Formats: sequence, C-alpha cells, structure tokens
Amino acid sequence: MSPSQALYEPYWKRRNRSFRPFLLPALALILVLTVIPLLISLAISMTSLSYVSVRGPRFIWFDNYINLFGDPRFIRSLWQSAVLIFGPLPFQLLFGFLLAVVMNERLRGLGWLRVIFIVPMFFPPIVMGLMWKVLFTPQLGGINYYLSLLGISGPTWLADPTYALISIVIATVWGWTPFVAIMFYTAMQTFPSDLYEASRIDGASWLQQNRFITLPLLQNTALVVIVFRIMEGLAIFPIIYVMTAGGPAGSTETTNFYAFVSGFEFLKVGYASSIILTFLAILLIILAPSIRMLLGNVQPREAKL
Amino acid sequence: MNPRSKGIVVALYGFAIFWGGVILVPFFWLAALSVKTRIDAFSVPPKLFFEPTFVAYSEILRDSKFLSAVLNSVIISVSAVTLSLLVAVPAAYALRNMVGPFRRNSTLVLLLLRMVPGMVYLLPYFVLYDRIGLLDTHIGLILVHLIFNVPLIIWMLLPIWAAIPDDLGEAARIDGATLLQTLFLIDLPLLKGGILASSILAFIFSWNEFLFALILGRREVITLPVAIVNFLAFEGTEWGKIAAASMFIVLPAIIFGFFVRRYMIAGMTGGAVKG
Repeated sequence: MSPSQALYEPYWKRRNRSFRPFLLPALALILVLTVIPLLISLAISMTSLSYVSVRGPRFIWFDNYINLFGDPRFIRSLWQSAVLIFGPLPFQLLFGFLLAVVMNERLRGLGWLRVIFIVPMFFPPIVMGLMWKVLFTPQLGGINYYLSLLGISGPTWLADPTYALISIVIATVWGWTPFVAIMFYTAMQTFPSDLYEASRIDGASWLQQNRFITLPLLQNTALVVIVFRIMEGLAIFPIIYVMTAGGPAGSTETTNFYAFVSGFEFLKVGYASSIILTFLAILLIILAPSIRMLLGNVQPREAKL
Repeated sequence: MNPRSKGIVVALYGFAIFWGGVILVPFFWLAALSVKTRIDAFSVPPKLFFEPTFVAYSEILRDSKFLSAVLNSVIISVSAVTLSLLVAVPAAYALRNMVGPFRRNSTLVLLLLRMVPGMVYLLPYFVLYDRIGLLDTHIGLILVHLIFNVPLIIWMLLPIWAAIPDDLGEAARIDGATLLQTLFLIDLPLLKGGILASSILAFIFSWNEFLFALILGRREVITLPVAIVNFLAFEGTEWGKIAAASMFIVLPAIIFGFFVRRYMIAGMTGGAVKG
C-alpha cells in the first residue's frame, strides 16, 4: 500500500488492523479445530469406512445418503428427535415465563428461590439423567408410590415405549426451563418502565399489563430461546444415554443417538457421518429464516469509537 | 407496576414454592439415596426418615479408578480453561475495539461453530485421533474442549467489556501506550471479575462434558461423568455408589455456579444487565 493510500484510509480501518493480531490466534485455532473435522466428516460420509469390515474403505459418492432415506430406523429417529425437541418447548416457554414473572415481581422472602431456580443450569446432564432414572425406577424412585396414594396406577415409565419418551420430556423440562426463565427475566429488566407507568394511569390491571405489554415485548427473546433450544435439543444425549439408551425397542432413539450407535456400536463410521450431517442440514434448513434475526439479537453492543 | 390483587400475589407465591419443590425434591431424593442402605433405598413406601450411612462415600473414596477419574477431570477442565483464556481474552479485546463487517462476521462464526451439535465433531475426531494416536490422551480431550470454551469465554466477556468505558484506554494510547500495554495495565485490572466468572463457567462446562469423554477417552483417561456411567454398567445395582459419585460431580458445579450466576445472566443478554 502506498503512503498516500494509507493516509486516506479511514481511521476505523487502521484501528481495526492494529487490533487484528489479538483476534487471529483464537480465530485460527477455532477454524482449525472445527472446519478440518467438518471436512473430514464430509469426506468420511462418502466412503464405506467401517471398523468391522475387513475390506478397506471405498469411495462411494452419495450412496450413504441415498441409503438413509430407505432406512426406517433413520426416518423413525427423525420423528423421535422432533418429539424430544418440540415436545418440551411449550412447557419450557410457559413455565419459564411464569418463573420470570415471579422473579420480576421481587416478592418478599423469595430471593433465595431465585437461586434455587437456576440450579439445573449447572447440573451435569449425566447426573440429570441418572437422577431421573432413579426417580422413574420402580421402588427406587417412589413416583409410582405417590401416584398410587392419589389413586393413580403409574405406568412402568422407562420400560414403556410411550412413557419412556414422556419421561425424557419431563427431565428436559426440568433441566432447561431455568434457561428460558433467565432469558425472559433479563429481557424484562430492559423493558422501559414508562410503558407500565402509562398503562397504570390508564387503569390497566396487573394481568392486562403482563398480557399486553410484557408478552408482546418478549417475542424476540422467545424466538432466540426457541432457536437455542432447537439447536441444543440434541444436547440431551447424556440424558438419553443413561435413562433409556435409546430404548425400549428404539422408542427414544433420536437421530443424534442413532448416529452414535451406528458409529460406535456398529462401527459404521461412514454411514454414521452421513446420518449426523443430514440431520445438521435439516436443522439448518429449519432454522435458516430465524438465524439472521437471532444473530441481530444476540450481537453484543457495538463498541463506541 | 400496578398494585397486585391479593389473589395474584397468592398465585405467584404458590407457583414459586411449587417450582422450588420441583427443583429440590428430585435433587434431595438423589442426595438421600447416597446415604441410604440398600434395603432403605428399595423400601416401599419410600423411607423419608432413615439412619444415614456413609458407606457409599467411603467406598468410592477408596476406589482408585474413581480417584483417578477425579484427577483426570480436574486436569482436563483446568487445562482447557487456561488454554481457552490465553486465546479468548485477546480475541475479546480485539472484538471489543474493532468495528465493521470483519468484526461482526468473526463474532458470528465463533457463535455458529459452537452451536454445531457435538456429535457432528465427535465422529471425525474419533477417526482422526485414532490415526494420530490422540485417543485416550488428556491433550486430545483438552483440544476438543477448546471448541466450546473459547467462544463461550469470548461471548461472555464481550458485553462485560463493552460496558467498561474506553476513555482510559484511549487516553493511554494517545500518550503512546501500545495496545498490549493498554490491555494489561488498563483493561485487565478492570475486567478481573468478568474473567474469573467466565473461567468458572467454562470450567463447569468442561467438568460436565460427557459425550467426547465417553468416546475419546477409553481406558486411561476416564473423566468423572464417564466413571459414573461405568458404575452403572459394571455394578448395575449399586445405586448408593452411583448417587454418591453423582454428588461429587454435581456439588462443585452448583457451588461454582452459585458464584457466577450474576455474570452468566449478564453474559447471555449482551450486557443488558450488569453483574
């Protein structure tokens, strides 16, 4: 660059350039640690790589992907993923909203509850899974005993295909409602108080304020929460692993879990890669419209110059 | 806000206490299991009052496999957080001060790559590590943790950092301080709390990590979450030991979490709420 060009270069560009060396190590590290594996994964997914086959891996183009759609276990896992991602969502949003309202009201004597509400956020997912496995195990957990006191004859939970799915949904609601509540609660802190003031003068009741001011203002936050929950709906792997291991009879096997089983139990690594990449593609297609909006939302505040 | 009617106040208290119970009862159930004898654990109706026993704790504390799992978890979590800080703090410094599309895109790429489900990375890492001999090593697991910890720390620090006015730094730079000097002498002292909090949060995530540890650690490098699952597999019915070991993972996570809760809330909301 000639000196005269440098002279006319805007200040912010010069400033950016001087800060760039601080950013590059992190950026380079993360790109190496993620993009290379992603490319390897893509490559593997087009081979017959398998640790049980005596023959070496062959390059088979898109055969794995084509086979996927004739694989009933894959199709079923997609459905079960949808149930486990979207099933808990309404409950998480509802309870999360109610909790946020409770926290926002600053009721006397409930400060310590705010601390308890967020305990599940720090819970190791594996312990969360173990805990609910204990609770749902007959005799050990006592759930069915207390249900029987109410005159309800409890199901066998984890041993029953339908109830196993419900058990995992319950565990997920327990585990991730606090995240939703905290997101809503912190959003509420930013709402302008004059809106509430004005509506109070106009005679709005507490319920009306929540219905017509708080709820509409929470829309964006709700969308952010939903996107995060869809992406991280897969993070429940440890819970499924200890609670049901995908069973009984494959009834709680998500696509994530099926990829795991294909890769590390059947050792068909090539096929497993095609499963998980297809699933990722499906997620991205579902989320594409909202991702732009999400990114605008979670973007940290621009630094002032 | 409006004065609430009595009914609403009662309903709010009711829901708060209800949800407090929803959170605590399962947790206490597990905690109780860790100090029950086998007979008490399986009794119907469930025994709410019983003679506590610490047999399970003394057993796992004499189990060398369990102790080495504790050590592995500490080594991996602490190293992963330290390495993450080394690259994440300068990166956050740059992102806090840069403007324009490059800054924006870098921030987003970091977020998106972190949001990719772990299972996507697990398969290629397994194949790769198998080839280059990193399976069942500490360093192999630590590297994978960086994928999640570096963006986490950057994203948590950015809003905290943005809330600190840059006047001092600007003045120092005008007086001829280098960017490195500004970082160490002005920004970092102001940011101590935020760095500590983001380290703790990253530590909790590393401490809790299960999926990668399950596959990339095999015989030697077993972390705590995997060790517990092994109790389940090999010693199927020893629920007391499983519950006691669970307390060992969950309590540090909760106690640390307690201290960073304010920062974490600030970090997730782009600095809308200050810590």
